[in-house]
This record gives sequence, structure tokens and C-alpha cells, in this order.
Amino acid sequence: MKPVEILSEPTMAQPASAPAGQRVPGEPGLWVMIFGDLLAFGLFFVTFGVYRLSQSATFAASQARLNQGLGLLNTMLLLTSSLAIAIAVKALRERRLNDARQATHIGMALGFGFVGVKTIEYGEKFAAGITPISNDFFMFYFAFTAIHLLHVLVGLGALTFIRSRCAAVPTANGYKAVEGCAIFWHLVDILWVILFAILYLHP
Amino acid sequence: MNLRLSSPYTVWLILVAATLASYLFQLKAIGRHPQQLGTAVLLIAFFKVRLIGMRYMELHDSTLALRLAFDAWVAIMAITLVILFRMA
Repeated sequence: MKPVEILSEPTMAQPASAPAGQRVPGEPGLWVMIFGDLLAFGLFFVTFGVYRLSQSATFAASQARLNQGLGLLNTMLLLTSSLAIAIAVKALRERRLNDARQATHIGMALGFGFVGVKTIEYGEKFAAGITPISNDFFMFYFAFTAIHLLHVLVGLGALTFIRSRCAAVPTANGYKAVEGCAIFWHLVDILWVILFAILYLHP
Repeated sequence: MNLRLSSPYTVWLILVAATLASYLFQLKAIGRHPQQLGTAVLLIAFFKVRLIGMRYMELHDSTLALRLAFDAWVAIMAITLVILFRMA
């Protein structure tokens, strides 16, 4: 083997690819955490549904006090942020580093926008005298959205990691790490889609 | 803009349209029973969840086990919540 082949371009590694149907996006171990999170939130949602059975009037009256407009805005922010991160991952695979960096910046800005809107929403509630101990609906509302907000903050850390990988073409393992961070960000989006439906929208 | 489902832009357009449809249901813009509206809101939400999982999380071309596990979670959650919310 020629020396030049032994030393050939470690920074030009291809994204890890496998035939369709045999691929695991991100690191396989990441999916244990993803499904653990899905199961935990699944229990939260079912618990909410069970409590709602015996307090439907209270839950309906409390839901009417939520700001549906801000909930819709936050949904759009996260959906668009997910789009930006999907574009960033695609650009990184195609070695378009500038595009990947710009898309990641947009995704992060929208994520911070979500945090800002959520802060405003919490402020509105506290100003109106609504707290987690107001009733069971608001106990669920504050608990679920606060745990979700924690996921958003961790997700923003993951996006910062993606941003740091946009300086040079990643190695094969680097692609896996980027995919994993993106998958976590999309999980944050998924959880919010359901929270928006059951807390804000369901009549 | 690439309008195939494989395009992230197309996925985003579908997600936004589905979100706005849910929001209009919530405003009771159409004269349906609240239970029917609620079921529609939940089913649209889980349709969006599956779309994000399959396309943005790239599960559409992942291993069968991973896809089945995700689809099972989506189906069990959707059915359970629709039943629970209709019982209230």
C-alpha cells in the first residue's frame, strides 16, 4: 500500500452510511435515552388524561386561561428550528460547512426564541396569580412545560455542539455525534407537539 | 424548493399546515362536536409526531426494529389518549 493512501485525508471522512433499512441514525445507545424519554413523557400524558376524567370542568376552565397564541408561536418556532437543524445535518453531510453553520445558527436562535416566549408566558401566569398550586391542571401545566423547557436548554447545548462541528468536515464518528444531537432536538419538538395538543388545544 | 416528501421543506410545510388546522379546530371554526374536534386535534398531533420521527429523525430508512418501536409508541399513545379524552 502506498504511504499516501495510509495517510489519506482523515478530515475527508464520509458520513457513516448503511443500506436503507439497516441504518441506525446517531449512536445506537442514544436511542435508549430517546425511548426512555418517550416512555416517561408517555406516562405523564396518560396521568394527565386520567386526572382529567374526574375534573373535566376545572381542566376546561383552566385551559381557557392559557395563551393559545403564544403556544402556537412556540410550536412554529420549534417546527422551524427542527427544519433548520435537518438542513444543517444535510449540509454537513454534503460538506457545505457555511450552510451548515448558518442553518445551525438559525435553529439555535429559534430555540432561544422558544425560551423567551415561555418566559413571557410564565410571567403572564404568575402576574395573574396562577401558580402550580392553583389546581391540578396548572400543576401539570407547570411541571410538564418546565421539564420540557429543561429539555430545550439541554437541546440548545446539543445545537452548540453541532455548531462546533461546522468548522471542518467531521470524521465518521463526528457525523454520528451530530446526528445524535439533531435527533435529541427533534425529540424536543415531538414532545412539544403533544403538549401543545393536550394542554392548549384539546377542547 | 424541492417538493418531494424527502425534502425537509416539504415536511415543514405539512407540519405547519397541520398545526394551523389544529389551531382552527380549537377556535371551533367548524360546527362539530367538541369530542370530534378533540379527537381530530390528537390525531393530527400524532400524525405530526410520526412525520417528525420518520423524516427529521431519519427513521424512515432505519432498521425495522427502530421503526417498529417508534410506531408502537405513537400508536399506543394516540389510542390511549383518544380513549381517555373521549371518556371525560
